[in-house]
Amino acid sequence: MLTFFNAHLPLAALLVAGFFLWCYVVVASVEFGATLFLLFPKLSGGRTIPVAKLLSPVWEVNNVFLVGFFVSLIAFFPGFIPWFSTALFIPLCIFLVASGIRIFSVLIFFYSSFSRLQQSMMMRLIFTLSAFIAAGTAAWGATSVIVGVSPVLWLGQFLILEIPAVVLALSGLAAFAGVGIKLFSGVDARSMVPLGIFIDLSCVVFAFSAIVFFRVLPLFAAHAAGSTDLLWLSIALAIALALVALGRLASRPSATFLGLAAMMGILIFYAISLQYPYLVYPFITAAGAFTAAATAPILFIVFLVGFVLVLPSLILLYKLFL
Amino acid sequence: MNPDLLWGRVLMGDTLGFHILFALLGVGIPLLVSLAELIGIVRRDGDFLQFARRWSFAMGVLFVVGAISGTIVAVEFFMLWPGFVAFAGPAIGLPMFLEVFAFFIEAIFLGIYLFTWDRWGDGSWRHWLTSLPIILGSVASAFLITTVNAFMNEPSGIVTRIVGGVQKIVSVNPWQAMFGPAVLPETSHSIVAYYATTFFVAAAICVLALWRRRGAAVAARMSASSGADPVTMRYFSKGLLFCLIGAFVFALAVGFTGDNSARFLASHEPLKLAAIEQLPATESYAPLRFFGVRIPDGLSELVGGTPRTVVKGLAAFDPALWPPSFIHWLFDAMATTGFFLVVVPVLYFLGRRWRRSRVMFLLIIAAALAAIFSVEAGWIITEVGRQPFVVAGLLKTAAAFTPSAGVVVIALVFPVLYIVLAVIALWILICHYTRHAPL
Repeated sequence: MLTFFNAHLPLAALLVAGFFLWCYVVVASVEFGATLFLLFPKLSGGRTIPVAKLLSPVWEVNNVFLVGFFVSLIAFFPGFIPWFSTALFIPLCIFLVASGIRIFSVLIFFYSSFSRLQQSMMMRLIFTLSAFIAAGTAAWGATSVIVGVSPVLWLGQFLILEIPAVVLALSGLAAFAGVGIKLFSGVDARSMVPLGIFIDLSCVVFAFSAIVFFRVLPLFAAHAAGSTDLLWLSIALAIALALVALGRLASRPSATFLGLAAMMGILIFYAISLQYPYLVYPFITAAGAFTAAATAPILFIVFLVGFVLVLPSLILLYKLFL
Repeated sequence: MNPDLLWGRVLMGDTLGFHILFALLGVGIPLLVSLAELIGIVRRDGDFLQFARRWSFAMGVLFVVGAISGTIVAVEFFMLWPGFVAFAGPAIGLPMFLEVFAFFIEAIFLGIYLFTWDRWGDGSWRHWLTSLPIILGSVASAFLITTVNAFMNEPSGIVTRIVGGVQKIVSVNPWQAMFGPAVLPETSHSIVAYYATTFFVAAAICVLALWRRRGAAVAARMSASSGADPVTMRYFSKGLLFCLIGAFVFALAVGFTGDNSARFLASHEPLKLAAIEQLPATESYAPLRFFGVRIPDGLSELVGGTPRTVVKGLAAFDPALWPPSFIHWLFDAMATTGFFLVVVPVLYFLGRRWRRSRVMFLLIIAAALAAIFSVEAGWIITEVGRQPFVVAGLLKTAAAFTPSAGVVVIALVFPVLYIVLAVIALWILICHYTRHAPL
């Protein structure tokens, strides 16, 4: 048992990184979904401040998930960092600048009393776009990293299309399932925001990603050829969850949200398992870039203990505010 | 020097210099707010409760900026210095990973603390209790990330070997690497300095508020109108006394821990000490040079407790490894600041007659600026004093740098971004406190 565990420590470490990434994308989608209300001031009665009040306690925590993802990569796979930082230098620079822009809008909407700026449609658009950059761009960039593929490769293209699609769908739903219901208690939020726009957009992007996927299927990397069954199983499960989720939208927004969050999780964890044992095929394996044998078990213990400590606090936070 | 490397160092320096301003307040303000709330609850003093509540808004804004600049630091860390992460990752991975959870605790309870003032009410023990994890999380974050820097200054718990022309760690004890000899002197000195600086900054803001209101009171008396608001004056006077007591205690602690750090440098980082003191040759009865003034035997006394203590000079080391000499002047300025920070609160406590004088007010404001300067100077001395190494004696900064081109572009963009970010954060705070609720 111990030997088995030791042999698969790199995979377990990838799952830890994937866990942080998954949490980040889901919660970032909630944030993005809430910012959508800001784009419809008349429909939502111009109520920007409740959005800020609801989101600001969550926003800070969401950022920690992203830090957790990056630090997991540094801590577990230090040998991967030279490749990663060199190959993704420009996307990382863009991400950094986007993070800076995002912080302006967070400060203005969450903490300032500049009502004129808050009411400005340009500012609202910047806030929504920066939230999407946070949820979408970072998600696909990071997912490309976690599976070790360049955006020009087929899996990269697939994920780049697929992940923003799920983010969009999640966001639209989050606006109803969580923030929307809380914000407009007693009012049917679904009648206030044209959710269909987001769902339609998601479907279009899903369709594009499917075309790309089938077109590039013959180029399937040799190392992943044995994983075809897993591939089909995961894709089928993800699509089924998406369909069920969208079908349940009218009656159970929360269930829909959970379904799409699970689908996002399947995509991320599937991508990890598909790429394993490589981080960058065929150059870097997870085991080759893995940290020292003495450090790895301690990191896992820290993750488990830390998670046990953090989980009740997270539940308290979400019970209080979302 | 490779121009890209120079720009990379400039960018990292800008980012850390900016981040530390917000990080130090992020560590200090939770203690300030929590102590004020505790006093308010125990003494049933509405002024202290109000003080805590008003400062908690600033805590939220500064945390947001600190969190984002911290994320940028983390990303820049491996973007610019991949060789460092690849080399030191097995040793520094543990404190960095632990820091994620400390950050989590801080962020979660910050959200709860900030947004439950109305829900749980002023003077509630339950609300105050939620401030404790914020203090714990912020101090743990500062401690853990400083252990990484301590490893860079004095690596321990590792065995290295040159494999294929590259220095590699072949064996590591993560706990020894995390709790190396530099950890205690470095973490204790920096964390108490953050607390001292925060209390001085808060005192300076109280002084500015008193100054403004005193001017208004004089004007009101001259126009025979209703006069000063005694409640507000009392509020700020209490706040000022509270902040200066805290500042004084922590300024003393900075002095003690600084002395400990100097002794540590003598025994573990003699080259850095020689550069700081610009001591040319190894000698006993080594003098202390302070802004050009020579204090006989001072350095030997300082580091060994006796004038016979032998202190290594620059000549004992390869000149190619000498750090830049400007850190000597920076250190002298920092040490002078340390004395100033102890003296200012004492002057305030001793002189009832000049407590409200313009000179005293100016001294307190100067102390706040000096405290911020000393934190920045301390970190510059620590980092520049280790050059040309990123991990002392093992990995040169140039070897850890990214081969990617284009560093110069982001090195030019980011300072602008930081300036805009700082201006917006300050603007928000000033507008909030002038329009809605004075600090």
